[in-house]
Amino acid sequence: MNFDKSFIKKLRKGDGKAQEVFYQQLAPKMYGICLRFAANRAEADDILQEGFIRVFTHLKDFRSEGSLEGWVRRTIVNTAINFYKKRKKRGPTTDLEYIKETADDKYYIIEKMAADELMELISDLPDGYRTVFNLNVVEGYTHKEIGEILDISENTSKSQLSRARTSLQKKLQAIKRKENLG
Amino acid sequence: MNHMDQLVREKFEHFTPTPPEHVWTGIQKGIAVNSTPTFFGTYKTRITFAAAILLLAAFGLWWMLPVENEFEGDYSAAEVNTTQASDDNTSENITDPEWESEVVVAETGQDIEQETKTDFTTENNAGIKTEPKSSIVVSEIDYSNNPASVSSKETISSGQISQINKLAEGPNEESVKTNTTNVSTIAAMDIALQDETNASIINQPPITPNLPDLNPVTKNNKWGHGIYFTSEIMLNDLDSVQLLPSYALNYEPSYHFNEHWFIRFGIGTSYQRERGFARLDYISNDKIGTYEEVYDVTFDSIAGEVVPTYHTKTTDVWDSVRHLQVTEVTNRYVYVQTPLLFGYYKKERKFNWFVYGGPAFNVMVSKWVEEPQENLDLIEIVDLQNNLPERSPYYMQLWLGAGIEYKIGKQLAIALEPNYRYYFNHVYKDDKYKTALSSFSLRFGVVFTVK
Repeated sequence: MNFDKSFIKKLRKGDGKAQEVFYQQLAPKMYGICLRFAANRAEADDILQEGFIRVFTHLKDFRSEGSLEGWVRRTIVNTAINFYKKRKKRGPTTDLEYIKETADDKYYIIEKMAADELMELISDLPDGYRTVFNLNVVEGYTHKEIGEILDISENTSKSQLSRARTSLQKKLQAIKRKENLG
Repeated sequence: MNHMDQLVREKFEHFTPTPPEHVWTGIQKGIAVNSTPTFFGTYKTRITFAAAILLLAAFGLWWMLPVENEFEGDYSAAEVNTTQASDDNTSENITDPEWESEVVVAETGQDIEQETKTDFTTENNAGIKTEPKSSIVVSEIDYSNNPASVSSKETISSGQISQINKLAEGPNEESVKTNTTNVSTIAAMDIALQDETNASIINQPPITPNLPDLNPVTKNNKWGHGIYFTSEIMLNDLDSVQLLPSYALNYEPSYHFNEHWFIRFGIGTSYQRERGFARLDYISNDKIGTYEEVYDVTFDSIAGEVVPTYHTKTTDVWDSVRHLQVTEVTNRYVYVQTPLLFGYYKKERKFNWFVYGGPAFNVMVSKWVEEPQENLDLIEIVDLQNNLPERSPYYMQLWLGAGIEYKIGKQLAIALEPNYRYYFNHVYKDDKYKTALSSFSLRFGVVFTVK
């Protein structure tokens, strides 16, 4: 999605109409990101809200070098990470027990699933798993970057991702079993 | 990236759920809180506005400066001064005992009460009519037969008149009329005469017009450059806000129009503080202990009695109660202030005293809103409110002050100025805090005078 310079200038000046249009254009995509990172829907709403407030108040920092959408996306992801960090401080997250990774080629379940169903599966993942999974698999961050962002070691990031995958596979297998039984 | 990752990524690529409407409402509120006021929106705008006021003040001063008299073809001033000089007998009027008349500068015949016409014809070379004891003599020189004829007015001494007489006695029988005027005309006349007469006459010393001093009256105006340090105490009846003393450092040039009246303007920064309370509503999530939770009870029969067995597990207890904490906070602000003061000044031997008054415009350029010094990283903030009211981005004051200057050098003085300030605008945005404010301040300054 591209926005021309005059539109960005209006946004920087705080033009309310431009802000609303901008929000309507990008909010659905960003809300998807929020839902993936958040522990629940209410938190996703909060992330989206805080993320966009940051976007509008810090738009002057955007240097117009890259894509504005990309910059907004990074801001939203950073906001989501901050929420995750807050949650983490609140108390220890319950990590799922380690499940041996099984070689499962039945990925067709994912293909069959709607995005929001898959998102619900991801939402059910423990905080740490979900965050690392989202950052690495969907957002494309490397383990080194994730380590720096979340203040964890690279190996922890790898291990969390591995556990997230395993957990997800387990959930997918359960769904498949249900389907077979049905 | 494994296959599953790829599938997940693809799935989410076009995942665009609709966010609930209340999110946009929340964003709008959030932007309104974070945004700066619109009129003097950005700091850049504020500084530009302050600079514009200064420029305007400087232009006003320049406009009010008296214009120095310059003798550039407009002789009206010369006329006035000449007449005065003649009346006062202060100019070096040349008096010839034979003529017993003073020849002075005049511009027009209308201003001349008496007139002497000199007809230098060969037939009437002695026909110089004189008005003895007349104070003003106008001579008209008419070189009508000369291509470089000049009709002029000039101060001419009797000796010069005799020169002209000599010319008239020469081969040319010209009617010569003299009408006194200025130096340049005399010079032109000299050139004309050169063409007509022999060199010996021309080599006479140049005619010096008997012009009075055209310099303006000695000016009493002067510039002063002052640097002032101010401590200000605000008077208010606000309950929840304690306005702490503020400090300012200003550079204020002043211009003295005359011995008594002056204007002072300038620019400075004012550092202001206020103390109040902030409310912090938070959940600490501290681990406050453990307890043994019974998750199962089994019953066994021992010696004919049923004995329950409680299966427990240790459960952590976390503090999830909302805490409310009120802490003291200090907000700090920096304003740029641009006063424009008019005053009355009185010189004494060692001290000078003065009074002044005028508006001062203050524009906020920076602010620091303090947050409670809790370990914010370890708690979940439910609500954080700095209860201090939000300041206006600008306000206007009326300064009324008096002061004394003590001369410590020829051009250097130190000044002490008690000052009262009334706030035209309220310094707070919130209506609840819109109360009339005034303050007292004491200024200490060093003033350098440029004469």
